[in-house]
Parts: sequence; C-alpha cells; structure tokens
Amino acid sequence: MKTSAAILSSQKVSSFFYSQAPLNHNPDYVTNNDNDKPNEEILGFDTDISITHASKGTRFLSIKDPLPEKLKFSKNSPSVSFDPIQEWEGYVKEINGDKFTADLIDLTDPNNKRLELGEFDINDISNDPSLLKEGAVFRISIGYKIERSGSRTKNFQIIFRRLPAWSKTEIENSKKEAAELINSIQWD
Amino acid sequence: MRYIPASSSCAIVMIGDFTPSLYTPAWLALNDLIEVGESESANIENISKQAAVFSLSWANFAIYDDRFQILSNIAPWVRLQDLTVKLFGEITPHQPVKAIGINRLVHYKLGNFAERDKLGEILAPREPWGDWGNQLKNTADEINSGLVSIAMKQGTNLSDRKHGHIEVRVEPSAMYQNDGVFVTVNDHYQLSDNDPSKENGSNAAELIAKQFELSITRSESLIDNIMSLTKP
Repeated sequence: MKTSAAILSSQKVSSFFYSQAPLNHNPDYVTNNDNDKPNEEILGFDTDISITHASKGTRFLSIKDPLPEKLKFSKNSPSVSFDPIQEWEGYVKEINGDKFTADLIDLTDPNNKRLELGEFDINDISNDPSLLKEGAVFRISIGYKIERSGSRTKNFQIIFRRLPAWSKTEIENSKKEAAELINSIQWD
Repeated sequence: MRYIPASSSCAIVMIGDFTPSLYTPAWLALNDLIEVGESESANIENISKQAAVFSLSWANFAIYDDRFQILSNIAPWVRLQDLTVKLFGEITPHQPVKAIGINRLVHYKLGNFAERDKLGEILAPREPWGDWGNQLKNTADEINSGLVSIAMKQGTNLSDRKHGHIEVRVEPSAMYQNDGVFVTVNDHYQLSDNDPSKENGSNAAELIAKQFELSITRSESLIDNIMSLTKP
C-alpha cells in the first residue's frame, strides 16, 4: 500500500568504476549546491519510507512539498561517525565518588548470558551525567570513530538511556510471565 | 576479517500527519527527550509550519507535515529507539502514523576500483547481458562501465509484520567515489491495513520498541553478508 511516493534524485551515480567529479557528499544530510541540482523524478514504488539517496547525498523529500534549497539538510550535520564493534547494556549498582560500578550484559553475543561487573569513571559518560543514578540503564559501545577524512580510531561511548515508562502491554506481559513463573514452581 | 565501515548511520523514518513547528529542540528538552544543553546548542536550519530541520551532536531531525525522520551517525543506535518510543508512546500517542522505516546505511572503502568492480560483478554479472555485456568491460585507460545500483526486496515470509518489506540496496558510494560502496537496508512496516484506529503514535512506539534492535541486528547481518563477498 502506498502512502506516498518518494522523490528520488535521478540516480546519476557513478558506475562501479566511474570516477565522478568531486561532490560535496555526506552520508547523512547534505544539500546539493545550486550548480548541481538534481533532476527529480517521481518513483512510484512503495518504499516510501526508505531514505532516498543519490550520488549527491542522502536526502529526504516529500512529494507534496518539495523543499526549497534553504530547507534542505545542513552541511554542518555530524561529520563524525561511530560504528560499534561490541555493545553492552549496563545497570548501575553503586556510585562512589567519581566512579560507578555496574552489571553488564554483552549484547553482541546473544549466547553469552553471563553478567559481567564493570567499574567506570563518571567523566567517561558521553551524554547527560545527571542521568546517572543507582538502577539507571546505559549502553557501552566500543567501536571505530571515523572522521570525515577517513581516519579512524578505536573509541567508546557510554550513553545513559532515557527510557520511556513501561507500556500497558509490557506491564501485562510481565504480569503474565510472573504468573507463569509462579505456576511453574512445584511446591513440596 | 571484514571491511570496517568508512561511515555508518541509522535512521527511523515515519509516514503520517505531523505538525513540524511543534518539534523544536526546546520542546524536546522540555519533554525530557534530550538534554537542555543539547537543545541550546542545536544547529537549527529551519523551524516553520512546513518543516523542522535541525541537528544535535548525535542526530539530525527533519520533520515535515507527512514525515518524521531522525538519523544518527553515532552508535549506540538505541538512542533513536528511546527517543521515538518516548515521544510517540508518551507525549504524542494520538499522532497519526501510518508506516515506519528502520534504516541502516553504511559506506565502505574497498581500496581500489578493481575490488569494487569485483563486488559489482558478483552481484550483477555482465555475462547475462549478452554481447552488450562484453562491451561493459573496462580497460586500463577507461574505467566507466559496471554496476550502477542493485536492490533486492523481501515482501514475503516476514513473520514479524502483516504488511511491509525489507529492501537492501548496493551501489557505489558518492562519498568515496573511487573505491566506495554504499549499502542500505530499509526495513519497512505498515502499521495497519486500512484500519485508521491502529495508525497512531502509540502503536508506532510499541512497534519500534519491539522491532528496532531486532531490525538493526538483521540489517547488519545482511550488510555483513554482502560485504563478505569481497575481502580486504
């Protein structure tokens, strides 16, 4: 079912060999400059959720209201990319001065159910340190930080999650699981 | 050994009816979706009735009347999930949302033209193109032929949705023009089949909470599979 059609820039992409003239391209959101406007065409396929991409940049456009140049995405979009190699979910156990300890679950290896214990420096928290409290949930990602120049370094991110409240469905499912667990206990 | 991405992104895209001017960085901070400091340092391109386009240090937002889009280059990607689930599940649960895309985008640098063409030849051999295929061979002097773009779509055997599809696309990277490959996975979910009562933020949030990480894991596996066809 089509909800809308996507407008894609005509795919003037290079062939797997063809070397194009330098373009101001970024994988996220980069505009075309005025001298390099794409020939837009409507593609009526039903992948209208996809991120449209063309040789000159990844762009999102609406069929209803094609955007003027000034509304397109910024060249100041994040230029750095951080790609994870391994990721853990952590639960804060204790906070001691500028350190905190946490139980960690390895998310990269689904077979590894073992809890690991880690100690971290509060200064290493990548987002809002005020989210740190006992029981708080965070993610640690180890991966490559990649600069726009292409240079990369191993790095890590500690991000405390801004978790939504439990939904009714989640609460119901938890109650159901708890009831099943209780019923499965065989009393002597 | 596998290629390490040269650039990596993840995005959530929604189709529905939105009020762009509502989604300002200050409003996101007010609702505890981002930090106040982030809101203050946001790079605002435009906030108007027609569009809200701005970026934070870790994400780009683009909201129009018919779509809501957030993209990040910085893992962990779960931040996209948390923000959208909280936003649509708690703050705007009645917002009309018809469809959701969970997308993964990766650029790779293969090191030289030959490696990129080798991958292109595996995915779309020249031979079935007949005599013309023979003319698509490059020479030392002229390298201007080969695969431009290829996509594969799965619209059946998707046990996690009634309507939707997964589409994987491989094409040369415009970011790394000489030797780059750009792989995207579009994981598309329709919220309902002509049942407007299901097309709302609350159901969208529930779907994202349930599917986001599964989708990312599957997408990465699909991308890894393609990239395993060529070795560094």
